[in-house]
Amino acid sequence: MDLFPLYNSLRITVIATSAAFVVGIFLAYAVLRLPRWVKGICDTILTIPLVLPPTVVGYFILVWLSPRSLIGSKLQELFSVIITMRWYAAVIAVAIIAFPFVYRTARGAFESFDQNLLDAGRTLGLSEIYIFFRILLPNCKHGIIAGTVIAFARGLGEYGATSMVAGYISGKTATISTSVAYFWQINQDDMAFYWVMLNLAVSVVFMILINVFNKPNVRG
Amino acid sequence: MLVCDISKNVSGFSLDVNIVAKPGATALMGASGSGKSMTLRCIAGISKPDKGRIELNGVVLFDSEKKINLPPQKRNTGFLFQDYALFPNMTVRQNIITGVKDKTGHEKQTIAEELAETFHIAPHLNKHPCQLSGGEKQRCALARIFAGSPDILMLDEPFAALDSHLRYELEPELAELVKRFNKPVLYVSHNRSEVYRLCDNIVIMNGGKNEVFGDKRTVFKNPATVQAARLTGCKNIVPAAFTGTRVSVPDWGIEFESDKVPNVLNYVGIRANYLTPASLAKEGDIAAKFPFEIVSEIEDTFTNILMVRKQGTNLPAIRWEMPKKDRAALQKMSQELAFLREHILFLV
Repeated sequence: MDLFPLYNSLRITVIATSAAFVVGIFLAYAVLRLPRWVKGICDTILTIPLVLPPTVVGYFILVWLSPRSLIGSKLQELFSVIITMRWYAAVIAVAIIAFPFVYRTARGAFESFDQNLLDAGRTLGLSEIYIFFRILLPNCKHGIIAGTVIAFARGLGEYGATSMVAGYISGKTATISTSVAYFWQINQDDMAFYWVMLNLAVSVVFMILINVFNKPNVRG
Repeated sequence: MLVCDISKNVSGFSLDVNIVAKPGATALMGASGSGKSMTLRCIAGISKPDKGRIELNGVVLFDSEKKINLPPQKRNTGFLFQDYALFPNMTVRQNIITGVKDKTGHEKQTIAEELAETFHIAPHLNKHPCQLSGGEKQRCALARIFAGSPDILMLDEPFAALDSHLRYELEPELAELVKRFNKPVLYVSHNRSEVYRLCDNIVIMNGGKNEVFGDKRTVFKNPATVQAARLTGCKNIVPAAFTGTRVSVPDWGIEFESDKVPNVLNYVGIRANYLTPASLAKEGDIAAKFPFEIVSEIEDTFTNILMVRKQGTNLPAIRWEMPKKDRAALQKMSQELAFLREHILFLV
């Protein structure tokens, strides 16, 4: 049995979620300090992948990054890199889809965080970097971890944008979700069923992990 | 010494303070939203004034003209937040260490342990803030502040988060600390008795401005403004008019002569416990007196509160507080109330 789609799905989602994690936290922190109206605009732009159908996200990636697009053609010309129809195209797609989950929860956690603690750190002479990594992040970790877990779960099941930008190439871009669709379309129902069951198994394991890690910390 | 002359506009509220604080404790008193906390935040550098100048022990912290605005990290101020702002993810030891500046890891440990000893929290060094009582939290926050040897101490309602029995336990400790500190201390509080016990000078804030500034005894004896009188605990404040030689107080139904009236007089006040039965006062000390009737009476823990007015009138009631034994004695006296000259406050 070829387990490549499982490996590929995990690889794509881990990389994409890690990227969404770092960028999401960073942008949530950056947006927090903007004036109110700029904040509103940034917030809308950064949250929009959450409300858009994934195919629309896929469409934009193709429009900007395919070899026929301006950026895509330059990438091919200068670095001989083609982004679309590769497994890493799915990384970009999943990262964009998963990003708002980290961004929203991180922003919410930062916003509800007691600003006095940050100010106290400042009057004590602590640097902004120390305050961010040693005071803000540790105290917001529950919210951020919860958001990242949802982002990961959402990324693992991503189909729409992935199938548009990476397609289904057996052993190259196939993921769990695109395999299900592919085998169903070519009437290999037993294979489709196999991947559906595997998907269910992964989801159950994942939900159990979420519940294990989401146990409220005594220290709060 | 602290010199702070700043102004700031925040959505409709304008702060305009000019205070000088010498070593020793200066209280900032004012109603909620009068700008006390905002003033402290501007001095600490966590809020930025629009204009003005802040100087602490000869170091310019802020000067809008010279475009100087030191970040809070460089101002070396000690700010005790109302809820103490201990970092919940760190132990008491780690919290204190965050306050230590420019020392190696080992020295930091030693300093933290010494401070924990001084502030009686040594047994709790490895606990987290959520495991501490209110009083221990305050001591931990103070230890953390003193770890950085600040040039000024700013206490924002230090007892607001504590139960009243803890307040009385911690107040002498804080008083001792303030006394030994020998640098300016700014103390924000609503509690006039606390302020009187802990501070030397008082600044009365009203609508973003410092209205009255002075030695605590002077301010309590002669508050000069309605706001100052209220904040120092005067409960009877009514409009008054000065006509040539006589002060008339229609709400109390009295008129009297006085040569101590200031140029502007809009209100008079008298403290509820300074009213006296006429039969106990010397005739020469009395500004005015009248037979009174009791509108209502409230029994407090150690005093009785009588709401009284001039007999046979419908005037607003005057609040009169007296110890319970005096209340019993009053039964046997003539029912006449006297306003003593020295106790009538002339206010603008």
